[in-house]
Amino acid sequence: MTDRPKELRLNFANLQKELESVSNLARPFLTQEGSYRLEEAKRQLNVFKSKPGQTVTWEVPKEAPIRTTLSKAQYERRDSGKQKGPHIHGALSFKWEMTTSEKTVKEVMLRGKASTMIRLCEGEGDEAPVLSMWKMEIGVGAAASPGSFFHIQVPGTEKDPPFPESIPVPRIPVFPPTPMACLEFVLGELFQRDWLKHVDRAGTPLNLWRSIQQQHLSSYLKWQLQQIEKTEGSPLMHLKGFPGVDLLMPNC
Amino acid sequence: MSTQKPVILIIDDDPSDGRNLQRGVGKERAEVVIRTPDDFRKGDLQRADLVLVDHELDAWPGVSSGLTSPPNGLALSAVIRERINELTRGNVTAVALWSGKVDRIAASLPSELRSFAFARLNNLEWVFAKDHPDVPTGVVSLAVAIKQLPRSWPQEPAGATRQLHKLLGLNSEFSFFPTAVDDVEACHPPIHELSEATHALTVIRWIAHRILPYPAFLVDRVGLAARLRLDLEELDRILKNSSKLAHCLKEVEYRGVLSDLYGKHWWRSGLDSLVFELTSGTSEIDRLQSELDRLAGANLKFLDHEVVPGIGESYRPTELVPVSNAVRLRLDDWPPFADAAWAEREQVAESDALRGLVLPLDSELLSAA
Repeated sequence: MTDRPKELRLNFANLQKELESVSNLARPFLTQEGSYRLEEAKRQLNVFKSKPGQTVTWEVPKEAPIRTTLSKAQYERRDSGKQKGPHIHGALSFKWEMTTSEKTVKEVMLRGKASTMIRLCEGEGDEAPVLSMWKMEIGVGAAASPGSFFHIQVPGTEKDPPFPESIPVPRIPVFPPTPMACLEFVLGELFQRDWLKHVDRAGTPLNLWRSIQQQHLSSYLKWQLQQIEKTEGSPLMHLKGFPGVDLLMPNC
Repeated sequence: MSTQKPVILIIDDDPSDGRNLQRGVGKERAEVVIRTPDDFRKGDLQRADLVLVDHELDAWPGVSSGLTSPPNGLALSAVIRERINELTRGNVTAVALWSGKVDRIAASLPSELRSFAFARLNNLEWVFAKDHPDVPTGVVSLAVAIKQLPRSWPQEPAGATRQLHKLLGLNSEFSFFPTAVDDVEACHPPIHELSEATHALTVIRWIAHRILPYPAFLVDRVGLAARLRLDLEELDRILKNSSKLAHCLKEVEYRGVLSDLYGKHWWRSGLDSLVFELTSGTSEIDRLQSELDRLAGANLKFLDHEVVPGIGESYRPTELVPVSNAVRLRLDDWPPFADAAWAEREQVAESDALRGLVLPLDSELLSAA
């Protein structure tokens, strides 16, 4: 093992395309403000194209998150009209600290905070009470946490159980959690049938989205398979390793 | 690019209107030639960069010389366009209508769309209203743009792109250059086969008809106010003074061809870059507002919510609308590459003209209005 900070290289154009396609796909499931804030995130990312060799922060702040429309208990897969449970919406915010490549911005290096926060809130609007919260993170940077490189945490904000703030585990392994992939995850959870139906068809945004996610997931799953096959110890423990700086680069 | 003054040919049955415009333009900015419909010659057309044709042509000898005689400036413009095509090989000449009765001749179009949408529908570069105070500046702007076109449009793609950037005043020294290049490209500039065939007149039309009137890689004053979350009146005060903030905004103002044709515009990527620099890359709204205050040397009046440019029944962005209270419209001629056309929900709900134009996804929001 080395103490060198873990980093993750990302193709800048792919990041733009991933955002563009999810923005088109997710539109019917977002509030007006949510959609607007996703557009703002797109503009913020586009600016980085003109900022070579700089440390930049890409952020949708938690005070102004991307909010989904109301899920009328569509997180259950019961027949329409038979869903029970509170009506909730998702609020996604994220912060990614990265460095842009020199001269021409073709890549960014994720090397600081890389965290996406998801809150599920009861009812609608900014004042809706938070029912649950989790973070989907990438373990990059000098202060990278132990555990799976791509993980979910349920950090408490109080000292009381069940998730007291003093205990940072479990870090549950997850797919490469770009903010865009996290958004799809939330929409898929909140709108079980509707989202699946929405993305189970052809179309340019979906084709673009599919190709990028296929590349990310297949690359990660291949690495996981290699880890399992080559280990002489416990396979599960080796899945916590660092998958490499170029894991999500095209043609890697 | 030529440094000579452009030549504007005015064709009007009443030369006194032309002389007024000639005085407004001034001898320093352009050479203005005035002719009646029956006395302009081939040489006039060959020299002109812009031909301005009056619409109401009812006081010249040829007016009643038969059914093939052009009954108005619109018809005469079509004849002139064909004559120009025959006479000028390689030169480009713009043809625009100017009229004291634009409201009448383009009555079927919403008022704010008449100058460019009516032109687009009638094979013209622009329509000028005779009584508008900005006409001399607009006319010069169009004529200068034509004068700046190269004798032959580059055939190879990289050369065509460079030529477009030159016309747009998009300088590679700009700190926001790479983003602006992407933004321009996303708006499908017609710089290849169409520009080659029309000696770049399609580029001029693209800028005049598709870029300046809509929020895309350039934004107008309402778009600028929305980006900075400033009250429109507050923004106007800033733009008129000489604060550091006014200077910063001047740096990202559009100064390419036609920049005086349809109000001031700013590079969207330039504004985003300015926000990036002012907030040290964080884009945090609190930080942005305190930096804007500092540069303005005043406590500015900011809006405390996210806003978008809202269009009313004029179909042009004229006001700021909270995004939470806005719906998107699908307008006939709104370019697909432009930012969405937003309008205030309650206004749309009460408007017969706008209600049916709401995007299906947003129509549910109307019932909540």
